Parts: sequence; structure tokens; C-alpha cells
Amino acid sequence: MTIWMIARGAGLSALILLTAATCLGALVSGRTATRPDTRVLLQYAHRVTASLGLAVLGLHLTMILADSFAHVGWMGALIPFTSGYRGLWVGLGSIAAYTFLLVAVIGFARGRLTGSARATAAWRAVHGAGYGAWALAMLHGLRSGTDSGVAWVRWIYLACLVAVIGSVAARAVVAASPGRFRAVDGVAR
Amino acid sequence: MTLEIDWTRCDGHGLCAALLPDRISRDEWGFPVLHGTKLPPDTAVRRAVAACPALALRLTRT
Amino acid sequence: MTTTMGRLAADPASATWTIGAARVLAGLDRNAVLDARTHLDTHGPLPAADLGRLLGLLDASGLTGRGGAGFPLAAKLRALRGQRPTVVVNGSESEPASVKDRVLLRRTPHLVLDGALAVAVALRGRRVTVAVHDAAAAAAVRTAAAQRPDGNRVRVELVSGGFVAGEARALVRALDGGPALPPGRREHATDHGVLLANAETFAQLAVLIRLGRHRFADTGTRTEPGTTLLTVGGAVGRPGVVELPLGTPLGIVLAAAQAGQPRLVVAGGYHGSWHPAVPAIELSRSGLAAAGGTLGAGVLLVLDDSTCALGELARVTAWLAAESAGQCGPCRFGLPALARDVQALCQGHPGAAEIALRHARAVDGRGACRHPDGTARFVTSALHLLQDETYLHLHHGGCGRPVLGLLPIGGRP
Repeated sequence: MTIWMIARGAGLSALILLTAATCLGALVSGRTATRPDTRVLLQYAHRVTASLGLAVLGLHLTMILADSFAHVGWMGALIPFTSGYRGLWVGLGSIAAYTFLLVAVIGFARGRLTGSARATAAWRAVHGAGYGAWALAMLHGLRSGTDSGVAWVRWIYLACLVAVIGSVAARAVVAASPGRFRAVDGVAR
Repeated sequence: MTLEIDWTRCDGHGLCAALLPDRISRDEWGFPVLHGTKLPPDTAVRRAVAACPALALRLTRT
Repeated sequence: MTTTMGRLAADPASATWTIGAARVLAGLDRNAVLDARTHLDTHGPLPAADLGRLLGLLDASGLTGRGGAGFPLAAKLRALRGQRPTVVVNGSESEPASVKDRVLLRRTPHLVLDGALAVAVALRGRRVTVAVHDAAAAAAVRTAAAQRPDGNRVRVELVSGGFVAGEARALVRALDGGPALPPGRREHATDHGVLLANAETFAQLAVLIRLGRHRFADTGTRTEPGTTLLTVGGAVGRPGVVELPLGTPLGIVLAAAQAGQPRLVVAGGYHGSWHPAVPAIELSRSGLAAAGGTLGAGVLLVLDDSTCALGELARVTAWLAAESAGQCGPCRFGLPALARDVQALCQGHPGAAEIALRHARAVDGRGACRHPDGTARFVTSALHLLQDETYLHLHHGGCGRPVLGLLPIGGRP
């Protein structure tokens, strides 16, 4: 029973951490903060929450596999939509995990990838798949999570939703202001 | 290793100068000024390359 | 003087003359346009040349690109050996004071095509693309291509764009269907399987193939044999496109161009440099390098005491700033700042010259292309030379001369 509780707690914790990583990612790329020092700190926070989130996600997966009563199994966890238990919603969780992993890997390799013109040009679009992974993770949690009916858990989901929508909106507002060189515009004119 | 700036990408965010203050300063418009481009491939330099929001910095072998 | 410059700008095909024997410009004294027959009568048939022979000729003559960068043509051929490249003739000539390439393409297009097709044949390239910015040159090259059996390999592209769009890599991108902007990474046209050279370079190659290495070296200097084309303008009685042996002293060109009281020259175009009109300056790559300048795009503009040199500088700097493609920050912000500094200097603001020099240093080498570097060189060389004028503008409210616009900007044909 303890394993099952750890699995549930890890799932929720991973969602919270990866939500924070998503929000920080939106804020750091959207130039909502302008001071370079602040943005460096935001970047670190983005990387730390993302790494922790992935680690806790690993724990979530391990515990699900370890729990013989969960009826998910290796196949169900690793191959989307093959789980006996809520196949569709567990499958979405698997896809979210793979996507987060891909996004983290190219995030980690960011500095090295600037060696290639094509990788540099594609980087932002590919890394942006993290937003999709976050949305899938939310659906996965809501529909296959045992605790989704609990009131305070529902509040957490709502807070996650509001946080990401707010960060993305803040980014979109900055991105909509005209022209390139926004970061230096104040200085230059 | 040589540190290079893709000027068509650089928007003058200034993170590189914040991370490598003794190697990179900023001009009056906020764009980076490199003090020598030949650099050892140490952690601080790699960190600055990875931090650039515009992916405008790169290290090349030369 | 302004009227002669104006006439030249309106009709670049008007005047050509030579110092010494005409090679590239041969036949243009008797014919408005050399068609296939007059071309053959003038130059004779083009001997066949495989890659080995071309490389031998190019190595012996050291023929370099005549568009400004001065890269050896032999190195481009070697880089593309076995790749069957597209050969691109860069006839965009975005330098506003230069008309030499347009004159070649409009009046002796077969000579340019001879050189380009010879390279295409030697490298087994499929096609020759001639990229031009003006319709008259495009029409002339199309007409010429239709007159020759190998003309079906020639394609003419009328590309648009400003100063920076004529840069080799920007042109290659535009021909690929991309934006006419220089890329942000160090790469060459050869990396794209393209052999690109300026129109005059191919014309010089056609001359070299016909003459052979020894006769080609009959004129010019030992290290830079042959001739070069210069577009001569400004305060001269005979503006136009001039062919002269490399190494000809400036004084001879000034006398032949009927420059009355030459005081200053701008050599190489607007990425070039300002010099006092010293007759001994040798007009060659090494000669101008020794004088701290560059032959650049083959432009020689003469200024006398009739015009305000600082005002001329301010006009051109403002134009160069406006021609920034705006994709690189230091150029986008630095060149307008530089233009304001030079304007302030004209208006006698103390300290403006120092700020201008600082801004010129601030933009140098900090862009995807050489536009900021070239502009910095142009302004810096002028400011070092124009210290008397600067003094007059600073302490006497100006030099008392009007700005005649002897350095042409915009209004290109």
C-alpha cells in the first residue's frame, strides 16, 4: 500500500514541479524579466525544477511498475494505450513523459546544438513541445489519478492551470510588442 | 575553442555578459563585446553559450 | 561637375575609355554593344580550356575577384572541383558609385559569358546564372545568350534589393528563394555548390584564356598582372568606366580623367577609403593597401575644393546607415549613431569627431557581413583626412562651401 501511495504522491509532485518548469520556461524566454541577472536566475530555476520534475516522474513510474496491484505493467507503462488500467489516460501520461524527456535532452544539449545552423533554427519549436507534454500530463493526472476527486488535489490542478495560462499570456504580451531588439530598445532610443 | 556570435540572432539580452563579466562586456546599445575570442572550453564559457536566450553564441573548434 | 556625374548615373553606358591598350573594354570605342559577330571580330574565338589549364592560368596571373572582397578565383575553382557547381555571375553592383559591371553586361555581355561558360565547362557545371539588379543589363545578357550556341545554359535573374543584397552570400540565398540577406554564420558561396564571382572577374578570365599567361602579364605589375576597371567620377571632366593597367599611378588617371584641382579621392567605393590626391599612389591592390586603403569595388571618386567634403561624407554615411539590413544589432543601431555624429560634426558640435571614431570602432567587425566594417573604414579614413575641415566647421561655423553631392547616392540606374 505504501508503494501505491508513493506512486500517487510522486505523480502529483512531478506535475507540480513540471508545471513550475513550464511557467519558468515561458517567463525566461518571454523577456518578462529584463535584467540579465534576474533572467539567469530564472533560467537556473527552470532547469532545477525541470530536472527535479523528471526525477520525481521517474520515481512515479518506478513505483507504478513496482506495485503489483496497479495493473499497468511494463508494457502498459512504456507502450502508450496498452495499459489494462485506464489505457487511454495512462497512455497520455507515457507520451507526456517521453516528450518531457526529449525536451529535457535538447534543453541540456542547447549549448552544443548552436554548432549547427539547422538545429539552432529548430530548437525553439522542438523545445516548445514541453507545453504539449504539460497539457497531456494534466489530462493524464485528472483522468487516471486516484486522488482527482479530492478537493485540495483539485485546487492544485486549478492552480497549475492558472499558472501556466498566466505565464504563457505574459510571454505572448511581450512577444506581441513590435520589432526585434526589444531587450535593448529602451537603451538604444 | 573560438567563441562566435551570430549577429543575425543576437538581440542584446545580455545574459552572456552577466555570466562572463571579465570576458564579455556590453556596448552602449547592449550588444556583447568579446574581449578576445580564443577561449578555453571551461564550464563558465559553456554555461554562457547555453544561457543565450537567442541561441546566438556558439563555440567552434579552431 | 554635378551634371556630368548626373549624366553618368542616368546612362552608365555613355562613357568608357582606357589607359594603355583596351582588353576588357576592347571594341567599345567603335560599338555601342558587341553582338556575337563584333565580339568575335574583336576578341577572336575562345580557345578551349580544361580545368587544369584554367587553374594554371589563374595561378600564374593571380586573378582575384573584382567585386570588392578580392578572393582568388583559383581557390574557388579548387574548392568546387568535382562538384558540378552552378556558376553565378554577380552583376548586382549595389555600390551606387560603380557602373563598371553594368557597362560590361550591357555593352560586352559575350565577354562575361565567355568567362562564366568556360568555368562552367571546366567544372562540368550545368548552368550559368547571371544575377543583375537592372532590367537593361538583364535584357542585354538575354539577347547575347540567344545569339550563341551554348547560350541555353545561361539563365538571367533580375534580383532586387539594396546595398547589402549584392553581397555574395546574400545573393546566393536570394537565388535559392531565401531572403536577400547575409547569413549569420561564416560560410561561403562554395559551401552551397555555387561558384560566384563578379561580372568583371569573368570578363578578365575570358581575356586571360585568349591571351595566355605571358601576354596577359605584358601589362600590370609583377604581382598583379593585367588591367582593372575603375568607375571614375566626382570632380572630373571625363567621368566613366576606365580600363587601366594595374599599378598605374593615381596622377596619370586624374590627368586623363581631366580632374582640374583634385584634392581628395575616395577609392574602392563606400566600403573603401579616403586619400589625399597624391599622384604617386599606385592603383593596385597592394598599392592601395600600402596607402591604407583598398581597391574594393573598383571605384575612384574625385573631390576638389568646390564642395564641402564633410557634407559629402555626412550624406554618404546617412545613406550607408539607411542601407543597413537591420538584422544585426551593432549595425542597426551603430550606423545611424555614426551618421548622426558626422552630421553633428558638420554642424560644428565639439567632440563629435571623437564620438564618431568611437562609434566606428564599436561597429567594426560586428555583423553578419562587412557592411559595418566597410562603413567604419570609410568614415574613419575620412575623419583622419578632413581635420582642416573639421576645424573650420568647429570654429568658423563651416567651410563656406556648398555640398554638391559629388559622391552619388541612391538614384541608381
